[in-house]
Amino acid sequence: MPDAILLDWSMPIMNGLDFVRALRREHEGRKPVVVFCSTENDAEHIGEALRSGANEFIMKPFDADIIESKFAEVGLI
Amino acid sequence: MEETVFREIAELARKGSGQHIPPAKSYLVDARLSSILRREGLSSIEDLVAILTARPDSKLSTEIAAALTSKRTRFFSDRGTLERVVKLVLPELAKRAHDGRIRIWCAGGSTGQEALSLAILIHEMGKKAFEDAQIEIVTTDICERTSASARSGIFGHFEIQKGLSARRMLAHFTRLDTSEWQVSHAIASQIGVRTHNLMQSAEGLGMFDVILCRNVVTDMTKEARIKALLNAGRQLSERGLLVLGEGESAAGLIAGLEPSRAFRGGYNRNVDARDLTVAA
Repeated sequence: MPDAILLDWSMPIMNGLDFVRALRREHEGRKPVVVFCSTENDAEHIGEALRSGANEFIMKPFDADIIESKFAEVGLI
Repeated sequence: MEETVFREIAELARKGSGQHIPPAKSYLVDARLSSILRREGLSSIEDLVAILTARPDSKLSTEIAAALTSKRTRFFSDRGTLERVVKLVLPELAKRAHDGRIRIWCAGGSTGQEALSLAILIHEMGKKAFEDAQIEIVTTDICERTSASARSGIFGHFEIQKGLSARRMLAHFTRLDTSEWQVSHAIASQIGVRTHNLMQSAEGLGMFDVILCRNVVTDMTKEARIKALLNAGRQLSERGLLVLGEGESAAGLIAGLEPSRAFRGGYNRNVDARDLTVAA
């Protein structure tokens, strides 16, 4: 199991939201850290991602400062 | 850029804002003055200096000096210091606040992220933690445009993501149709925004219980650092706390400011505000 997953919203077969829900169901507790990274960056999508078990949300596009900031936010660095 | 032109601009910055721009950082001049060049319809810094030489314009000079200062900031920068101020210092000040008011000054606060971070922490702790004291935060910047940006409380896609968690972003900001994010009234109403040059007396701003002047004096000449710290220190209330940035110090510069025993990186005034002077 990785320490962290950087997860997009739109993916083939299973979308990011279903993935994080399944992940949290199967692995109780908060690990691994899940950071959503998506262009679906309105308040509704971000809120839904967080309620589903994501620890943080990066709105695309992003730069290195944002990645660093968000990773620090969830204790990865 | 020609050396003589750079020297003119560097001197203008030194006089206007106390900033020291070494030749190795001449690239900053192009970047930070680009919007003024565009607005004035000029193609180079040389043209701008030529205009200032032919037609000295104190308003334009002031604007250039302000534009040359760093605007670099982010939410919750040096989070530990902000949390210590809100969780340790403010509750103690609240117990002693005779008039039920606590005033905080974010000096050189750029586009307002430091003040907003404090306001968010204060809001999250709730009024009871501060004995229901009225907490007022004033953020100042030398640059009119930067102050206007702080006053709007609107942040772009990149700015909003730097230092601010998605949870706090959703809790305290609303997404606009422009894809920008606007701070809530509950947070914004705690903050006043003013344009102020630290080279000038801050008497008009009143006295403050906490002054944050972090990473502001680093780029200044020694003479300007002294002036800025004197001007800030003179607005520090009795038992007030002045907080500088990591690596910044008032030691050897100001007589009457002593390192705080309770707050690492902080200073207290040990003389009357009017008696603060340049250290011998």
